[in-house]
Amino acid sequence: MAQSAAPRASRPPLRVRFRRDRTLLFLCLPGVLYFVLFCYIPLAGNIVAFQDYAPFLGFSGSPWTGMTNFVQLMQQADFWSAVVNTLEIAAIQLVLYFPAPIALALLLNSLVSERVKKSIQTVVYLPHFLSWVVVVAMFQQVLGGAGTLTGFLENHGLQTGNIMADPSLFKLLITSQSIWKDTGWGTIIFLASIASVPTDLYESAAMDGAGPWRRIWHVTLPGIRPVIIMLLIMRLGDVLTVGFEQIILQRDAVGADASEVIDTYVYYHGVINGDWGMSTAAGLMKGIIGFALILSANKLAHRFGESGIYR
Amino acid sequence: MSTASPSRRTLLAATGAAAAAVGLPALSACGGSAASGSGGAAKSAKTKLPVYAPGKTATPDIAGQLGGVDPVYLRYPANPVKSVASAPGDGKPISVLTETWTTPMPSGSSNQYLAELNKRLGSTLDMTVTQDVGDGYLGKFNSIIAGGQIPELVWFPPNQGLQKVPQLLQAKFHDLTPYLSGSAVKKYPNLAGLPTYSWKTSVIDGKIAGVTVTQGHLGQVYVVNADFWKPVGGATFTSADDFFNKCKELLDAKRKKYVLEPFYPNAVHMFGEWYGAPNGWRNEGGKLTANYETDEYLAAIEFAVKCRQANLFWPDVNVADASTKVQGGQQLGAYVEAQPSALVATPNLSWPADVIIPFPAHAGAKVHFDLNYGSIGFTAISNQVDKARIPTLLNVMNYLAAPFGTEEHLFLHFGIEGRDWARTKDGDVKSTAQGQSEAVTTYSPVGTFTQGPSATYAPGAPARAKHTYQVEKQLAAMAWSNPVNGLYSDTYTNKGAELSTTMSTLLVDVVAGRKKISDWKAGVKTWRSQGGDAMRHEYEQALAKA
Repeated sequence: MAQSAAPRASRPPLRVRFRRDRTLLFLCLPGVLYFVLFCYIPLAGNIVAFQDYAPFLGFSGSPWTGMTNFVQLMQQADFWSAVVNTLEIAAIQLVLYFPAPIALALLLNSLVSERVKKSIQTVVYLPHFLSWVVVVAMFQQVLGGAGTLTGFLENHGLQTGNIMADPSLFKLLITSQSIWKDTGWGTIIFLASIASVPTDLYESAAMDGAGPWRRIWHVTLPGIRPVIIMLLIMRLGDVLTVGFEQIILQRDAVGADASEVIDTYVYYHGVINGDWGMSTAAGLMKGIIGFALILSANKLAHRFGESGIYR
Repeated sequence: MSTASPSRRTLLAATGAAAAAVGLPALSACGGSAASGSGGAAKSAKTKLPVYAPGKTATPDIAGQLGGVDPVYLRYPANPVKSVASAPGDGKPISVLTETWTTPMPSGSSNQYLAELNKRLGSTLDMTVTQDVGDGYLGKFNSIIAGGQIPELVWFPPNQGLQKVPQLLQAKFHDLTPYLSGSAVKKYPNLAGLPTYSWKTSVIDGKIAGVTVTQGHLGQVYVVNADFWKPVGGATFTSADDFFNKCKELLDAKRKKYVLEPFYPNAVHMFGEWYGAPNGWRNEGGKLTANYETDEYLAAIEFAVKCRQANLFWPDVNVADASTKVQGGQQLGAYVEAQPSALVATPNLSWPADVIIPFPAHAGAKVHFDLNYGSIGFTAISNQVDKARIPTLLNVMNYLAAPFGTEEHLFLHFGIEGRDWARTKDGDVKSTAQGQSEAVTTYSPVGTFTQGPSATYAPGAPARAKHTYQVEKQLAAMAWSNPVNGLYSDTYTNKGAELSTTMSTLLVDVVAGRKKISDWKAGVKTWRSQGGDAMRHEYEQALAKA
């Protein structure tokens, strides 16, 4: 992520730079340690993907199987169904969920009264702190077959059916849950970047006769474009992570065909069914695809003249 | 009296009528190619089970029958005998992996029951307790095994889909055969008092892998609240149509009043009994047919679909408190319990609980009641435990297996006299509120890894005990067991859990209307080719030898 804009030749020697930056480097240390301990060292565990792994035999005791796990994985119909579900949910989330915080941030930004703004902000941040168990239970209380809204509509002659148990609505349902839970939280970063747009730009736009919509379109959005692009790239790397706990909690209601995604597939086949090798292979493939997506999205950002997340 | 009942959520197998789960004995499966344990079945069949030598305790008021109706005690014997002479522990803590079926026990020093238990055992029980929610015990078990820090005592349930059990036992646990086989068990008199049928589940690959966790032999039942069914003249039925019509009459979705809990595999198991579907397998002159393959089982599935279409099931499958809803008597009509002895469980004494006695689904249906296999698994000893300490741990489990009418049993189930329970005027035991929140919740995870033989006793409610006896008698009269009970199949050991999980998932999809009956039939074919036929063959061979 370091941006070394300075030309290579004029760089001071490493020792000097180290002395100059040592405070910053020291501050980085806990973060680096975290990533080494919890991200890089566990990467070595991916060798399980090439073994018929049994935890009680360990890495050294489990037999090597080469690419067998990958071959078997490719032959599993339910793996492909999980891939398709993941991609569908990812696409829906990208279209519906990703822009939601931007819209809400613009809306919040347009509020004049600081007090109203602050209290609304507090309220919309709250759902982020609820666990998925609570969120799903709340949705069930309202939309479930025995839910309040369902009951109300039925008493007034409208048969809605059970929204929580309809496999065809599942993907929209979980996206709307994500929107409800995390849109408010997502506004933080956009609000910060909106605040950094110079106010004189708004003034001159207003002088030229631009109404509120035009000011958003021509000033605010271009002003926060680098942040949007950066978050979009980071989201793309994560795009195959479409929710785990949230989906597991609702899997029984709609069945695996509609709800299995790569992450839950890995969990059920690995942790629950004990097929550690094949499910690690699935997880590894997901990681590689995510990595490739980040690289290409970043390239694409450069094409469009943005700096992306690194150069 | 059984506080530990197998998970309703994580399937029926142990309660083992094994409705959906076919085959029974030995546990486990492996999800891969490593099919070790081959040939283990032959050795298992030859293993000498522990002898059965029940200790002398109080005479029951109504005698029971081993493997059928439990003996009935109308009140707790006034002078319980002592079955263990001195504290069995060695002062060092004992770590345990187990599961609870109640709310979690109180923690810390407020739990005097636990402190007293540790004192009486002479060692501190350091229990890792899992709850029956989500992936419950299986998820915990697998992560603990994967993490490598294996507790000294580990409970192995047979119905929760543990994998590679033979290999795991081989690699990480002691072989207890020398300590328990034949008359060696007599060194631990209370363990020798556990019925032989229970021990069969402890045998894996020809070795006794652990101490059996015994339970009564009578399997799953529909538990009802009699008040709920009063408007239709009670929970007795003449046919499946009669049942269906009465349910429809009671259904009132507008008032959120539904009839059946929405856990479909259990429902199909109950319906299957009414239609005469086999208990796991049907044995016709040595030829086996799996319940999946029978018309009766198919009829039960179709009936479940009909009930689901008529909205009889609670509409949200994730309902967490079906039993509470049934207790309330207003919202839900019936839920499935692992055993009819649920009728005398302390929380169920305060409301008119009853069970549905299976009835013929139609004229000519061969209605039966499915026996389970009399155990909820076994408790193995980690091989990180020094060999010299094994007898100590067995002595501790010996204490925990004390039968009804002993001082140990009275303490284990009811707690400290004067605090957790008090004597009534006529000398019976009555739990206090303290006892409910402390003794009951703390005993639940203990009883899950070792308990004494089952007996019917309803503290302070002798009428309920008598009624339970009548119910059990009726059930036992129409009971049959799984013909492969006590036989061993290598394919079952290696693939059984995986196959039955697949089938029960498919079953749920069909009943929920996400898949068709034709998908079920196709699924049965896949089941046959992936191991069903192999199991059949192995069991048929074992039957021929038996």
